Amino acid sequence: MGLPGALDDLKVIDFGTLFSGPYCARLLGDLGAEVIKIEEPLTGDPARRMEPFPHDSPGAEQSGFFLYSNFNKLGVTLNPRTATGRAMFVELIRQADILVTNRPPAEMEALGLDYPRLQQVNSRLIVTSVTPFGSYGPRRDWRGDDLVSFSAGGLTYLTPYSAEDPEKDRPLRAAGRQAHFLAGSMAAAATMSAVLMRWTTGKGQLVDVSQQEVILSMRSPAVTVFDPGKPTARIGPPSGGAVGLVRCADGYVCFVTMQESEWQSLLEVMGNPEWLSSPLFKARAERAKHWDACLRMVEEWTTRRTKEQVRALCQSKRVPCEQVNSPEDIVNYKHLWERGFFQEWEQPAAGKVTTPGRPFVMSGTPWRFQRPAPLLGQHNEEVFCKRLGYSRTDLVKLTEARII
Amino acid sequence: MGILPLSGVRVVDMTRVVAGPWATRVLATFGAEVIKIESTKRLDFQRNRGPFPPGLGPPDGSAAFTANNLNKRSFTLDLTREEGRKLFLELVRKSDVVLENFSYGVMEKLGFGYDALSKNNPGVIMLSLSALGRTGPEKTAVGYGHGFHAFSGITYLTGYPDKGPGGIGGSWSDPVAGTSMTFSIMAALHHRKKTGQGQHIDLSIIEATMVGLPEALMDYTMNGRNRGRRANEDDIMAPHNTYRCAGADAWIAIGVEDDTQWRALCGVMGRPDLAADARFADRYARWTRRAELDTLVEGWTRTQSNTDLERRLQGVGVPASAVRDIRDLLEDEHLNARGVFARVPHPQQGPLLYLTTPWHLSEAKPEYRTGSLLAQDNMDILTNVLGYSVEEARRLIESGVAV
Repeated sequence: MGLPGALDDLKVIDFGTLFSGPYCARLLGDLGAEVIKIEEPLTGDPARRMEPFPHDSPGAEQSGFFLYSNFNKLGVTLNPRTATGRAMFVELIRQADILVTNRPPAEMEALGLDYPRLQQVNSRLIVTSVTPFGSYGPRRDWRGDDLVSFSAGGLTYLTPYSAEDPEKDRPLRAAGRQAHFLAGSMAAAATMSAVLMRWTTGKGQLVDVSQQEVILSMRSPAVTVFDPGKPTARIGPPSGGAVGLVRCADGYVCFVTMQESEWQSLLEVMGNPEWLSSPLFKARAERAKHWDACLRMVEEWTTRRTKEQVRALCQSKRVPCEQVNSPEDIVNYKHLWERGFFQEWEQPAAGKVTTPGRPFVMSGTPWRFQRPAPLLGQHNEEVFCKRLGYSRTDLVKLTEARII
Repeated sequence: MGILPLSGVRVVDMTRVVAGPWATRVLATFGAEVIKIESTKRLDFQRNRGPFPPGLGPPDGSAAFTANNLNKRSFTLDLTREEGRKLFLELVRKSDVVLENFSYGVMEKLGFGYDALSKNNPGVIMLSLSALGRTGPEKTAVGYGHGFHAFSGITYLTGYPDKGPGGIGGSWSDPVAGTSMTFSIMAALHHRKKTGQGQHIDLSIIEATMVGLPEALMDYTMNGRNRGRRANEDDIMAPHNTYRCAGADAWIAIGVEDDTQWRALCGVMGRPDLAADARFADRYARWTRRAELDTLVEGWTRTQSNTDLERRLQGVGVPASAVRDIRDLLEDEHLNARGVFARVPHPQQGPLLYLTTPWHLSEAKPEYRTGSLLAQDNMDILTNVLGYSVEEARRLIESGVAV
């Protein structure tokens, strides 16, 4: 093992389900924190029933989605709606540095596990709450999934930017569940800000992350430069005359010539075609006005080459350009394997699993894959017996009572 | 101002464009002293980014630039000169964090590679930001946001099934990577408090984006399935879409998770018959008939106001939101009640509205100011941080080393 993890002194309780909360806790675990995931007895985290499954073979212990969001954790089952279960939860909190939850604020209050009450148990405790609209304010109890968060935060209105007619082409979220994952990443950063502050104050605090604001914060200048006279809906990328999504022989590439020197280099790559000396395209301002026509001309050149060729030629002259990659393209991209972006491991139910791995590389405190996602209740004995002092016969009774 | 999480942390920020400045803005608003260093030969070209208010222009007139550089100080150095490089190393010696997003090899050529900086200051945390990281065959790749979206699968996967790649509107990868930057730096600062040790962080914007889109990649590694564009379709939820409402370009997003929410939606629609209809009675049945459901729901929403509707739906526990534009967000009572916007004066641009921090801490109360004008802090940094006399500082400024 050798090098330490940056967070190997921290103990985290993951009392979340599905998306943002569990992913936040995993990111802390990736850097060495000890994470105990608490799941509902018998049913577990609903994420266990989410696709993809290996070879399309569903099962609670092999959801790819669950395995990705929950590695580097110990897993226990516990029902905090029972008096005994709640007391055990509080015992775990007493030993913890951080509680991560993405449950609705009203549910945490009903359970008696809201921040003011937990703070009395452990004044150093940091509680990270990540919810669709934040844990306070008039809409704190509103619900939201990924699509609702993207829409509430202002991004759906702009997507896809290549809509032909905003009146006909309905607004879209970005693919996948990126609002949830980003909220988890933001919550991990937010948690660290409270950890750093605790070095000075010695006290914990409530960390509040709203998914609506997470999405809005991706566009920080948009609020400042907002011009009520200017339409923004799904009608082209923000930097007119710079972003070129163009067809190739086998797909698409996207180049971005933000600076004039980059446009000049692109011309050079294309062999300085004659049409570009037209006054329509020569000066940047004119070019921006005739950008679509300009891109169709560029396609005369790109469609005679593969996306890989176009990208390589552009990058050789330092023209910012990337392939429009499909999942298949990404998984087979050699550079990513050489850098160790993908993580491969064995899991008893799922077999060999390949997922995206670390978001960054740290030289002194490496990101580490330490253990696969827990089976449901896998660490009940390790946590409840070794940390809380219950006996194995206690575990039997607690199981029969459906507390664990 | 009370205690903030990063009080006492000094950050030397050489990043330009969006991702780096986004991250250091967050660090600055949470209390770090962020010194934005620009080479006099090459300013951050975001300073040229319009629109400009009448009569204003670069270097200090861009509101978009100001928004990504709140609370920072400004220091300019001529790094092509020996004396300029010496000043930089002196500043690093008195700092905790250094960030850069130069092309691969530029920092090394300047004599500022991690090995050199850590010899100069063993506790320094250095973060190098790039398109595809500092190792592997593509380590020299260059790029901007929409190219990162293309590489990471977002452009390919976002769009309508019957059309070409759609692409995400606005910025995404840059601030997404900025979020990971803040996380990794604060984790490294925590480690340094325990050990005194610094380290080097290698962050690829594209990798930091792709970790948020795992399902499509895993569907390929697990099942060999190469997913395509699915508009707003969910794996299992239905109805799950944006639906047209009354008014110009007015829409509402609705995502029904379970049977209870489905019955609640039927209640608001005034359609008890649908709630009782066996064809829509469970998640699987609804997902299988999702196209039919979309037609039914939109037939109803198109005569309704989207803001009225979101309130009624959320009132009975159905996840829904009007598809908001910036205008709607600025007027949003919830966001305003949460203190998401701050009006801050700027010496040239006047008072403008800015987003505050992307998360809230119960015990920290950040204050907001626009960053310094270009080179405004040169004298103060030379004298108060680096310890030069006023005469020496004046000479460094007048000779063009720290213009």
